[in-house]
Amino acid sequence: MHEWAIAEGVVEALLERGRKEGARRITRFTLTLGEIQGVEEELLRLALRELSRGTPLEGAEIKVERERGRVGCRGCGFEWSPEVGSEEEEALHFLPDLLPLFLRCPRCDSVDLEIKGGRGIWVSSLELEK
Amino acid sequence: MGELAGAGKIDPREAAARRRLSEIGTILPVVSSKGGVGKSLLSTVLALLLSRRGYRTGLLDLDFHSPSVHLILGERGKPREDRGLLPAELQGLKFLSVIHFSGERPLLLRKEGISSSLLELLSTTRWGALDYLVIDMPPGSGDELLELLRLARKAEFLLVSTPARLCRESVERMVRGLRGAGARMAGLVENFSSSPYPWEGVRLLGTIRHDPEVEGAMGRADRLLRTSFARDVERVLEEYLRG
Repeated sequence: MHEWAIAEGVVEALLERGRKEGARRITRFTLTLGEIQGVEEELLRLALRELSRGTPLEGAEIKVERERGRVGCRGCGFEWSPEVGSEEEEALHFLPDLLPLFLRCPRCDSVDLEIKGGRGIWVSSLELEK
Repeated sequence: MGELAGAGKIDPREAAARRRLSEIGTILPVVSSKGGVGKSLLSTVLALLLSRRGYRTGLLDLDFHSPSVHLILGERGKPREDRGLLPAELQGLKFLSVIHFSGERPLLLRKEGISSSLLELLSTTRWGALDYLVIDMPPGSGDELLELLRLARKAEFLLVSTPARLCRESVERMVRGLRGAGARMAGLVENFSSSPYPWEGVRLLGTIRHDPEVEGAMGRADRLLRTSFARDVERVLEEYLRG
């Protein structure tokens, strides 16, 4: 349940931001989930609720958005959304940045690839009560 | 009253990485500005010796382009998932490497992917209570070193050089760089050496002689610890622990 560790980071980062802003409560925030990492939204929500208890984050409304995985070829410029196979799923769950190791450009066969979207998890907005 | 704080984009990994690293007693990144000076072997033997002295020890291979600690140990184990990432446990060590995720694939990675993977590992790995985390670093003063400087201010960098002038001058530059960045330095080890160079600005912890036997002991931790290389590392460790 890697989602728990992700949730710990999200809670710490939000509480830190709340303290900096002098907030009494954090009432709402938006999380963007890059699809490469294959994070299970329900597990993440559960962990966030548990970890928020007794903090200024308790009861906050959580909005989740998803960003599709996109890879670009540095050789020919082609961009596509790759299918992640079950073999690499586990590795990418922990290290999504390794995705290029498992792919080749479908157009020019290059291995010089970059992730254009859908890696990682981040807080894209939040609402505070001061 | 509600206020949209305009979060921009908050990366939750930073706070998590800082907290997890703060739970570790001593972080010892083994660094050199040059490759081929024996960082991986020194890191591995040092970690094994710390563990055999009863210290709770972790060993992290952060050489994303050329991980080799698993070859020195002769095994890699398997990390587990439980509310985060639990390192493999072997030889009395907690061990983690990019090899656990990449397998044998060629590691054609650009620096953005490496920095981000490093942050990912540091933010999700549950080392638990450790006395020492030894980190085998890639050669040079690139992103991995700068990220560690940023996230683990208490890290004590252990420098490795050889007596060769090209290496020494480059490592001396690294010493100045680390000092300028306000980094803590555990000291310096001179490998492939019989009489040490008079180093300035850094504490010499000891020398390690060239040991032709060590190649044959690769992949066998018990045999490695019986080599003269390991005996020299033991002396280095004693000097370090004397403080």
